[in-house]
Amino acid sequence: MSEQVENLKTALSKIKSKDFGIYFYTIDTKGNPVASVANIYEHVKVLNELGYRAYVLHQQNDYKLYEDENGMGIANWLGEEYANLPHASIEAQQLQVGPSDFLIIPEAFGGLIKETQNFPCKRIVLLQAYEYMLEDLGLGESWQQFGVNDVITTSNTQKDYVESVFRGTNTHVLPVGIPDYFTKNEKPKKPIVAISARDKREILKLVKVFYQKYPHYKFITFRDMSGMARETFATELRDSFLGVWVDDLAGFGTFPIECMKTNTPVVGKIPRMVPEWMGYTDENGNTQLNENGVWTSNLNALPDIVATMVGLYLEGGIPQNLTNGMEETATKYTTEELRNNVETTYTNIVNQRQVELETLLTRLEETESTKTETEVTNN
Amino acid sequence: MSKITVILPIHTVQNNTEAYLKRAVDSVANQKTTPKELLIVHSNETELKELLTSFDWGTTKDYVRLVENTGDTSFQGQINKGVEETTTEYFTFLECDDELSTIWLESGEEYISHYPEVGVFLPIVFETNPEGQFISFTNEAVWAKDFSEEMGYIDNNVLQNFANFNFDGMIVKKEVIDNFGGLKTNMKLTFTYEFLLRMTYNSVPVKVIPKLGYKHTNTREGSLFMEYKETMDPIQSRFWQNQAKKEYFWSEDREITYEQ
Repeated sequence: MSEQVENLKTALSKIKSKDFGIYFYTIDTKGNPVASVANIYEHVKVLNELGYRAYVLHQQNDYKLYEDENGMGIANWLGEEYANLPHASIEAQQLQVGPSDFLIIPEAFGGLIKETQNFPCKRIVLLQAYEYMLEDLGLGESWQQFGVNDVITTSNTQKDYVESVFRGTNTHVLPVGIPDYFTKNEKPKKPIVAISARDKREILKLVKVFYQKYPHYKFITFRDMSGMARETFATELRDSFLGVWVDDLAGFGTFPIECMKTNTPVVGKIPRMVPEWMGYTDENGNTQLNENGVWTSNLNALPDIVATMVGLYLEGGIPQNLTNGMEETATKYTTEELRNNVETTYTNIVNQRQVELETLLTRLEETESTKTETEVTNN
Repeated sequence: MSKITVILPIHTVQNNTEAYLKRAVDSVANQKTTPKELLIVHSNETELKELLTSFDWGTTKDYVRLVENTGDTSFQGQINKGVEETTTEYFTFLECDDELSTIWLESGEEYISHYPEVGVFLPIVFETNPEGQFISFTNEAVWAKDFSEEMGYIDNNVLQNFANFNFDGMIVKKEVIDNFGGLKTNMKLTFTYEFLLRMTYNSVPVKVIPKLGYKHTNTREGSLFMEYKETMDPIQSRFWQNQAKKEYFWSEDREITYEQ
């Protein structure tokens, strides 16, 4: 029996006994809370709870897990239990993979997809932000060209998009799960507007225009929600009477869902790709928006919409259809759903890998058998 | 039914009193939560008593009670009389030419259940001219960031520097009046201010509910504050401002002699 056949048999045996690693390549955000990284940590956490050996894989040894003089680490903005998950460093040569292992690469790391094309493990792209999926790829280059066919993404809209760009991609949809501490506030909400914007200049512009046009509402506080520990973020959001979301490039749009879960009405600029929880495209190609938020395509209208919402809040008149729509969406994207989806998705991926390796083994054994028969005949 | 009593003081009949009163009473009738009682505290003026007897109380007839005040019928005296007659844990008051917003009692109930330690809840007041046009808000400033020690609360330090609060429509726990006194009839012009200073001095939490709870007709001819405006010079106004800062240490209503 050849060494190759022996290796494949060992790999299959490891897959069947869950004795393999799933490595999630993750950037070091240096303590800055980033939703996409939080989602990776959720996958790693659930997989470990399900008995898999999942790792957060980072480039350098100085990956920031704990707070230092320069700010927060994973333990501070995500939680201690996340910092305690298995981590592996490429610099420390802790990434040693065989055919039974899996390497999950975020969409923006086209360079890593190229560099790892000769790795024996299964590689999968985790697509959370479609906007970055062509980063580091040259003209005409695709993931398949470098041996990656499988993609995990967070929404059907992103699935449709990636499959339209890279034809033949095998895409798994695994929506984001919002942690259980995003709950409704027991106490009444305060006249605070929570803002989440990819481009921080939009926040400043909105606030300046708002105060300029509505000076009698100067007592309204605007809070930039970036850079907060996750649980603090949830508490602040719960207190706020309104959320404002500006992210043209969003792939999924976690912030509005978090708003809905905390019973905070949200005003948002419709992103380039309409998230599935926000609406859908009908048979005539028209976008139909859900009534779970106040959605506009006009960025300049945001200060006026915020002012209208302030008026409704002060008069206790937030429309019932809006709160009903929010509640309906808020029942989705739970951690329980995430757990179930992670289990289903990764079980499918592992099963597919097993079939791939079994097919490879059968072919290899047939080739070797034919080769042996030929040698015997020749002798 | 609400656990809040609405006190409506009225001491004389002027132009449009009936129309204003109708509007005020309708605003009580339109509450999302029915008050326990609507106490009309009135003087013994014959014309007023006739008006109140023939007045169409609408749906409030089931819970309206007329209380004749034979004592001090100043604004403060009328409120104090109403408080004496109140049988509920909390009360609010409504001037006869103003309106409660339809959500005010409902909001009050909600905030009382979440903040039972608070002794005085103020609304954000929607100030209008006699034609009903918006002039400004009052009380809203405490919700601005860093205005007070705790967002939404009026504290004594804030009051030392900022006196422009309007306590119309305030919802008060009767217990704090029992403990620290009611409105002082000897205070002119700044009795509102003195009351808030006294409450905060005695560590009674004073919170502004961030809801438009009260529509206040400002600058109405014949109103108490127009009377003050017309009769008091700036020196006298300053005297009462300073006097409020001297009187709030005492619960009792002490004699005050105006000196220039």
